[in-house]
Amino acid sequence: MKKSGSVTTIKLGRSEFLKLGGAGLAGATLLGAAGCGGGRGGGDGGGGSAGKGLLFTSYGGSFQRAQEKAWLRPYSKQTGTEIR
Amino acid sequence: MVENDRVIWDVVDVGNDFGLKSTANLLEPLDYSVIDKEPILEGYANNYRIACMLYANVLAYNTEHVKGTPTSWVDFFDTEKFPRGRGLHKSPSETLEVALLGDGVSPENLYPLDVDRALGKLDTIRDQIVWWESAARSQQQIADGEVALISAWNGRMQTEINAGAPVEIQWNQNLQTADYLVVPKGTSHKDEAMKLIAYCVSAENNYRLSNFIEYAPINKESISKVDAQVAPQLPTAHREVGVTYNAQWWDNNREAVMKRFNKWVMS
Repeated sequence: MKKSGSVTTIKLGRSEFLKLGGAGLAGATLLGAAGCGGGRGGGDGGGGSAGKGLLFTSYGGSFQRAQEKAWLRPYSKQTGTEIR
Repeated sequence: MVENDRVIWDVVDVGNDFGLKSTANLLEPLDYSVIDKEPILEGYANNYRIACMLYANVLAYNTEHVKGTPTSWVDFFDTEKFPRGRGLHKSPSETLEVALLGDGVSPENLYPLDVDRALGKLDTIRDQIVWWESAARSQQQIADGEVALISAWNGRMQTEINAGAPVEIQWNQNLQTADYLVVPKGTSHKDEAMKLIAYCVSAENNYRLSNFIEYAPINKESISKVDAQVAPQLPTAHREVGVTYNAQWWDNNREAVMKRFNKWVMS
């Protein structure tokens, strides 16, 4: 098994996903939305998840903070997988 | 998710109308040899998605701008009884349900949604509607009193209540549904993505979300672990007055309904 990488969290609005659903693989739309909305993720230097471990995206705000506290940080601690 | 053949995300939290047949081409099948599906509430674990929490779309109101107590979606549309603005999600999903319930459609007859009737009902409050597109905006709208009543997600409303905002939730006919985790097709970390999902939905961990936002576990074995102080604020405590969202109907109809809704919004 490969060495644990990092998990990046970025936010993604429901409407952006609906756009994706309607437009097929509209990756550019999603990437653009994440880039301006989250303030993290989307960029990440080399970009994408390849070689950098998991990227987790959600809705931002109090919900995503809750997911980070409830699941992502403890998971990171337990497995050694970095969460960004 | 996929841009220039490069997968951007590995695990994504998506809304209730995503991850069924019409979007399956974008997703990896979930590996249920890694994710324990058995204790998940019935209907919430599918080939390409598994719920991570239950939420409700509720009527919330600002107590400084509402005299009396709205008790239903019918009241939501009664601008004589309850004047001022109305916050609504700029998306047909959930909003059309609210409109039909507000027009007196009974929960048993809600689906298939009568889109014409729903848009007609929304027309009656068109001048009062203040759209929200992000959940953060919905919180701001109701906390600041920019709108008097709002149709929004219960956890986000509770975040404002917990912060001291003059907001109350009205649970009658709350729309019960879920958020889901999916894995975009083509991820180079599929095995790790499955492991993370398995962790989030497990009996040991799933309940923990409720300690930070008032959404409910979807793992039956995790429900009893929820803090007794928090349980009354979760959608599960209001299931008997709730209405169940039909994700399958939306998967079958989303594209056409989206087009009609967007056209109506612009008209």
